[in-house]
Amino acid sequence: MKSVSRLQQNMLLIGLSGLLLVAVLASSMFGAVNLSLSQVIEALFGGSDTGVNIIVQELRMPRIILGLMAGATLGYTGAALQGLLRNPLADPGVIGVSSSASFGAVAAIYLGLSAYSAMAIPGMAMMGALVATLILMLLASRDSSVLTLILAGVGISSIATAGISLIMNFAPNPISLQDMIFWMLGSLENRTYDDLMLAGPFIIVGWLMMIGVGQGLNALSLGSEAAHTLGIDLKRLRWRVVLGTTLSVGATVSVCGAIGFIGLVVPHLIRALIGYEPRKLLLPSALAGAVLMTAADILTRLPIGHGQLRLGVVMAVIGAPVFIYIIFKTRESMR
Amino acid sequence: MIGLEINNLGVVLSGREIVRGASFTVKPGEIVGLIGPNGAGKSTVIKAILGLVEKASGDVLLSGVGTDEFEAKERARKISYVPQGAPIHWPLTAERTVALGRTPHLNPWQDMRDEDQTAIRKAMKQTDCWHLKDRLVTNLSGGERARVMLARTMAVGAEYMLADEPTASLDPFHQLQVMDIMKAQAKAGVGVLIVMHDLSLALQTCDKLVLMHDGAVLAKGTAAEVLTDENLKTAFGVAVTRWSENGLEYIAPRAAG
Repeated sequence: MKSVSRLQQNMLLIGLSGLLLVAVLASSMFGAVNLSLSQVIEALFGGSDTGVNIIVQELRMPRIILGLMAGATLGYTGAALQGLLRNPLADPGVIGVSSSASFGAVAAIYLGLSAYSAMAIPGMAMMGALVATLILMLLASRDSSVLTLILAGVGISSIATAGISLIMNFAPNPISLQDMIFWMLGSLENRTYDDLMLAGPFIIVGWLMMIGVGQGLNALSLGSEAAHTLGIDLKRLRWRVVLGTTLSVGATVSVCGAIGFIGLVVPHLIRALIGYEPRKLLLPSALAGAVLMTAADILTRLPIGHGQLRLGVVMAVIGAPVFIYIIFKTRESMR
Repeated sequence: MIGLEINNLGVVLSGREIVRGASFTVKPGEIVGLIGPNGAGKSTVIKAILGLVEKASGDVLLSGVGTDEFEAKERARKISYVPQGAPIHWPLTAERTVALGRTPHLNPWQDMRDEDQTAIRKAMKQTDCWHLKDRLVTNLSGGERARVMLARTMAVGAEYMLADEPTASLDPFHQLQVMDIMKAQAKAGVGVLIVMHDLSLALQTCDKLVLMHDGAVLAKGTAAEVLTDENLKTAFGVAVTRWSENGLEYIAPRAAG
């Protein structure tokens, strides 16, 4: 593959932004009530009739914004973690934050906390993610090697998964069990501005922590020793990526459930278009993640799923074959 | 004093003293060969100079200033490094790989400037790999890849270059080619410190040699001062045969009798 010019990269960013715009408009048009583009645009500025205004502004917009943020987070952190760990199989789940957030949510469902507040499940999930972050910091703070981080993540993930199994094992009734399973399959359904207010700040802080990590990730392509001798502070880089990921992904999982494959597949999709340079993958992966999440959310609303098709399932059904196809196409250069 | 000074360097790893009291100097424009048996502490000395392992004692001075006093990128602009085996984790093009050498000159958001492009092109032409610029490094032969990795290090444009066995796993032709590049660097004023095992290559290429044994410097100076029968027997446990041909000197080890 030839080196990608700045023009080609900009074209990709413009193309992805265009796709994102189309996906957002489509997402605001389709649903239980189908709207025309002009209705959506009028409603955005409060110019349509009350019912349509509510559908667009109160029901669809928070869902769309959350979907964009979640998709962008998963795509960006997937690309950043793969660069940091120098492993194309890494995804945000590897550091244990997704399963810890799921554990928090499942615990909230078990305890019936959602009866007290609609924010109980995402709130507990967020707590789970933050506890995981603290444990990860404790386990890996002395020795900040990549291996320690991965092993600490695997350990945290295993404990959280064990906890989830235990709670499901003792689920008080089949309805609770169904709620837990459905929550873990991921969804953007019925998300409100409250969800956005809960998760948004953590997601944005996570993003801010990861701004400018591309140069360090590029240098890491040569190995950690060479990166150090190029003036990269590796300890700082690791913590920025790991903490940024735990905060933003933890918040994402808290309100959307555990949605797999975006973090794993999207960076590969972008690599097939513009090559392997870690820095160049970051922004396009965020945009492509947002497009994919928004598109998948539209699919969950199609009649084919009888209103029960979950976002995580759609992502897995699309993601897994795409992943295999990309690996098949790029296997030559992966040697 | 101008030069890279290693004064009384000591390194302790996992409670074991790996390097003790190592002192020597690399001056601009000279090639210093760091030789010694496996486990003598050569690579650890290089890593301590670069700050990759912590010093237990001693100083590393760059023109009289401790390297710890430099900000990381400033130190990176002054001392470049060719790691052993020169790993690459992603299939980048040769040009993008060499471009990584410009990292210490750019802030995290900055794009390549004209001067960076010039440095990349110059380094790739000096190492005869400009024609490979669009090829993936993972698809290059061992010799081509070694040249790209050297170009990556040269693109830094540092005053000192440290190389850990840059000729390991290369065939004789490419070994000579790499050493010629090192000589050209020294001629351009760069101070070069190379860890190497081939005594003949060290004898023919280096201006000075530092012989390490059991974590300490056993001898340093010119090849004649360092590569004595006694020193080689103490350090490597071998006897040597010496000869000259076409103006070049050779040393071949043999079992000590």
